Amino acid sequence: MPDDVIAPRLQPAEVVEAEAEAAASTGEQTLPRKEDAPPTHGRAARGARRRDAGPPPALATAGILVALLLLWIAGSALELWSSNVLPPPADVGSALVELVQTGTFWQAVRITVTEIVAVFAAALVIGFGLGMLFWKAPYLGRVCEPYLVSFYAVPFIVFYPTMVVIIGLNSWPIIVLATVMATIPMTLNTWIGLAGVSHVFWKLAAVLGCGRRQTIFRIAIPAAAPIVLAGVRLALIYSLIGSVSMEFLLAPNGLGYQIRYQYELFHQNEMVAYVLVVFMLAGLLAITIAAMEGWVLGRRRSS
Amino acid sequence: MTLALRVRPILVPLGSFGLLLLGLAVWQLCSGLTFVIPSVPDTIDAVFSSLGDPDYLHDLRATFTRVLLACAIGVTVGVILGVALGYSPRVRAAVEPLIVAMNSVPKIILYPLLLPIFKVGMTSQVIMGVIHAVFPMLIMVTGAVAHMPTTYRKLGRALGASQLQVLTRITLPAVRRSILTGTRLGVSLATIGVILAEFFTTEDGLGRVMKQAYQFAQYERLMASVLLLLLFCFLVSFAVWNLERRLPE
Amino acid sequence: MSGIAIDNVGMEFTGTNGAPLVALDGIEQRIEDGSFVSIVGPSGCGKSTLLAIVSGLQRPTGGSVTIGDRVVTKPDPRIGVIFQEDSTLPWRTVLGNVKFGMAIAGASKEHQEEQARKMIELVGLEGFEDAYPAKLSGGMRQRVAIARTLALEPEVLLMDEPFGALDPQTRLMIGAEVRRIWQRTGTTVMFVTHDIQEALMLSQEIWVMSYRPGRILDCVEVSLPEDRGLESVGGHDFAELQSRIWEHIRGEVTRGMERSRA
Repeated sequence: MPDDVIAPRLQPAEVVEAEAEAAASTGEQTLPRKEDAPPTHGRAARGARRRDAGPPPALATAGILVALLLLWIAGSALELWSSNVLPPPADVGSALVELVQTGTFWQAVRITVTEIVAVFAAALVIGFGLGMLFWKAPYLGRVCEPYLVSFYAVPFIVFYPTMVVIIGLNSWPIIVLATVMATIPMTLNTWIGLAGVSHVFWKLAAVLGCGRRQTIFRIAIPAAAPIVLAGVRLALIYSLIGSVSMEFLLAPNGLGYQIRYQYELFHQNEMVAYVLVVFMLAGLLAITIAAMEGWVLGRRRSS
Repeated sequence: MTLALRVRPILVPLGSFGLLLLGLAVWQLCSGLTFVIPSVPDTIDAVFSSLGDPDYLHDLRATFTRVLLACAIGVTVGVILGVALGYSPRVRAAVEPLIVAMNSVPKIILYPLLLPIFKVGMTSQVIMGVIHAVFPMLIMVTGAVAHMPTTYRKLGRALGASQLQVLTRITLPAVRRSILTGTRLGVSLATIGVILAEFFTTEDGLGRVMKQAYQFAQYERLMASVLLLLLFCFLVSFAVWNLERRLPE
Repeated sequence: MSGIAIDNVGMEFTGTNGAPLVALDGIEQRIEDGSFVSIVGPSGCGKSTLLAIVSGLQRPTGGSVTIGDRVVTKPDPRIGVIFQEDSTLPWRTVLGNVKFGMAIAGASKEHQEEQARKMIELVGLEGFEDAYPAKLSGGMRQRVAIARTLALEPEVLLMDEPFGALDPQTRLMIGAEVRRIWQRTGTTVMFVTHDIQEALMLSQEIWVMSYRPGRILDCVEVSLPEDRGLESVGGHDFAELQSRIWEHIRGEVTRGMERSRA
């Protein structure tokens, strides 16, 4: 009789969510093919796929962004709202152009990006390691499970003031706390991903005579990749959100700090400019993640 | 390798409890190392004395109200928009990247943009909570509706059900698991949103209390508030998780 | 290429209520080197368990299995196994999949390339070397699994209801393919199925297994011609063999249903 595979009993919401996103993010929608596999390469195949889907969704998304921009321009011009609420894009644009030429701006960018990279790297390594540990040592995993799962719900950010007092007012409390926040989804997803590897793959590893390392690195990890990658994506998101949120609350520098600082100085244009920069950073990260997932997972998806 | 739990089942909750005790022990140890971390008994004292303080209770109630409001609105909006998007693949394909990108933005930075419109006070903080809470629900429900087995929709058509009936009798029950999970996430995110907003503009509420405690070095009060907040989030999450587990699926 | 000797193999599990569950009872059989034997029986009779034991994936509680001159104690690339579920690796192309077993064994790149292409041609998948499994049908994926297994030139080939997940038309086609491949390579084959017709089309000998505890009720020699085509299906010999086997199975299926109702 097969043993029970030990995995967290809860499917983290994000795993389901990320799978749905991943499924949607390829963008292509094709009709299911009933006959045996047709040629998979060539212009004809690509053309057929695109004809089925209609205009590429990326175009529609860009269209929405453009529409929002036009709305912003029109609204400001027609004075639908005061410039205190949302300055006209021209003003914000020129403020941004000026900021980009200052050292302070790039210092803030550098600090925030450094924090994000540090947190992300730490979360990847620690999260993956812990995930593997909990998978290989089910008792340990089960014991920690309620805490891991509930920590999704717990706003770690409330520990920030205490951390600042202990460590000091610099990037370190941010890095430490954001790493905790980002490590949890990475751990859970690694664990679930590995535990969820189809039984047939374990049997295959055995009949092919795979050694321990071969089984883990050449079968288990690639098989678990979709779910593990969802964890990677969440780790990156939490890295950004954690870092900037904490900077916003209380920090000597960084993009989040700058937003607050400009607000307190009543520099609306500069504040909105910084907000846009953060949005652009988030967009950049989202594109990177999507590209990475597409590259690693794209070939696995049925067309 | 399928790995079995080779110990008696009772040892698992015991182990978890043991981990909790270990955590408390570490906390107590650390409190001895620095004055910033109050000891466990001092914190518990502070919790009880705070709960006896009418001003504190006022702040607690204020935060609570905002969180519940934000959660209720966020969940409702999330479900409505999620179902709408789930039904329309074209719109979804266009809008989804934006939603995903929005999900990865630290939403607190939008707060200064809200303030000139809504002024400091309940409304702006609740809206901040809503903005935090709505996205996970939206993403989950959209995904669930979009991936609902087409046989469900066919069933609705075959039975001659009206649009409303399909919605209430087929679609919503089919995605109730996502709704529950979205609610669970929504509560904690609404809490974060409201607390962060309260940190930023100090009027009343738990966020303000914490900020003040930090500024005046009242570390017992700070830790007590943190604890209460964590307890609240943990309990709500746990309760909804149990509901989720009971769903027959 | 080797023969398989199954010596007094028994398998006992502890059931969910603690009572012992005898899956197999005293199986004593021989498969000659190079022959094609099928095992048929009702669901739950233990035929998959027997195959798992022969492959080394499962240790019997009694008796032993010998392949060639070696006792089977654990799985081995020399014992080829085709599973019912899709076992293609979705992150590798068809060529990559077929090479996989050899790569694990440490074969040289040149040998991998040459052998893989030969196997792909053998199973009839030329032209699909660079395709990913996601784009292949179920039947094609099983052919990839067969190619991957045969690339290792195993001594025996064990197939556990390999076409169970495929539709009837594909099953017929791929069944004919498997027989053709067997005739070309001469590997010893042990084939588990619940489809009597399939067993008759493919094999030289059919073991009929009883319901739990699994015992071999009958060994039917398939006296159909070597190049049996679809025309055989209607023929007299075929029908006779089929009803003989079906008689056994009918009784066992009834027994099984009564048991599970009890």
